[in-house]
Amino acid sequence: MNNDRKEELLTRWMDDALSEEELRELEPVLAEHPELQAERTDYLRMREELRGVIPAESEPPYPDFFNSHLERQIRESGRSEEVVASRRRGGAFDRMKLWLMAPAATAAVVMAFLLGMKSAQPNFEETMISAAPGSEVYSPLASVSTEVILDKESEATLLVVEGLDPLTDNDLAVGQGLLEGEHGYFVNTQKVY
Amino acid sequence: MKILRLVLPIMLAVSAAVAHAQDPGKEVIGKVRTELLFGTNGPVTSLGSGVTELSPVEETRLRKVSKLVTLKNFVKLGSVEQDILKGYKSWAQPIRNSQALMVTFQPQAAIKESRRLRLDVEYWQKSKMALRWDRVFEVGKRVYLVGPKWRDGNLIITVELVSLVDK
Repeated sequence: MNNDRKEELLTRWMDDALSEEELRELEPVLAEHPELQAERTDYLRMREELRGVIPAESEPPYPDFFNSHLERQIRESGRSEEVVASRRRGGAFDRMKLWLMAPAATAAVVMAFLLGMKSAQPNFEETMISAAPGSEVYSPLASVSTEVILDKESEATLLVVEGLDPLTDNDLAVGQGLLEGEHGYFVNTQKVY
Repeated sequence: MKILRLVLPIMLAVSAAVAHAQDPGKEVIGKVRTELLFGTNGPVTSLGSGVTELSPVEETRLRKVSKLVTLKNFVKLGSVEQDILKGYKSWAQPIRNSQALMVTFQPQAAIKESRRLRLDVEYWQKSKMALRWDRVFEVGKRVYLVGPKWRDGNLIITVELVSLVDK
């Protein structure tokens, strides 16, 4: 059996996608490398865990950005795998391992993305001060407390905050004329996600 | 040289457009308006020519808050409208030349309904984050943050989702 055929069969074996005839063809390789069974068991377990975490139909937020980010991660991991592989001394078994690592690497990137989504929310000590339906308020300042008032007539929401430091005239630089206009800026949050 | 002077701006504009097109996070998904209001018992004439009085309807709304009910005058000190970018945190600075009071917005979910968007809003006072508020904003419905004291009155920051891009 040539190496390309071996790699193809092994990859499909990992995904339980071999016919009986193909499985018989692969048996000598599996007998020669019993550790492959343990790797396959680990891979199948990770796959099931991922399926349990990722809903069957759930569009990730910002799918275009997610896809481009994922493609970049795969490219970068592929480049690092090529460097590692070229340093090894040949051998069909080493190449087989690289094929097996590809689905594991993809799964790891997806897990990292999901963890990154969760960690985009701040981890520092915060307390949920008050909550109204559909909203949550946090403050890192121990002196701050809030109260949410819903004005049913106008459907406006007022968040009353106590405990903030007062501001001075110097802080606001009032008296400098008309204040309307575009005076803000943007910070890239792509790396957060 | 003349040709270079003609061609260079065009090349820069094209590069900027290409760079923008390649960054999906820069897609504009809506607009937010932030305003800074001030409630006081004192005269408003000393605040400068840029301030405007609020409507009676809005004054009535603000007086529903117990700490504001005794205040006689409400004015708008500053206002800024800003784009909401898909993958960026936007910083709004309602008072020009002052970073003592700033508000940030970051969209938290894809737009599912045409008039609603979940935003993570942070209130920053003098370079410190004082508050984070995660809520669903609806177009045209204003949210008021009754904030710090200033002079003899109270500052109020309003956040309003002005528009959302059609999906």
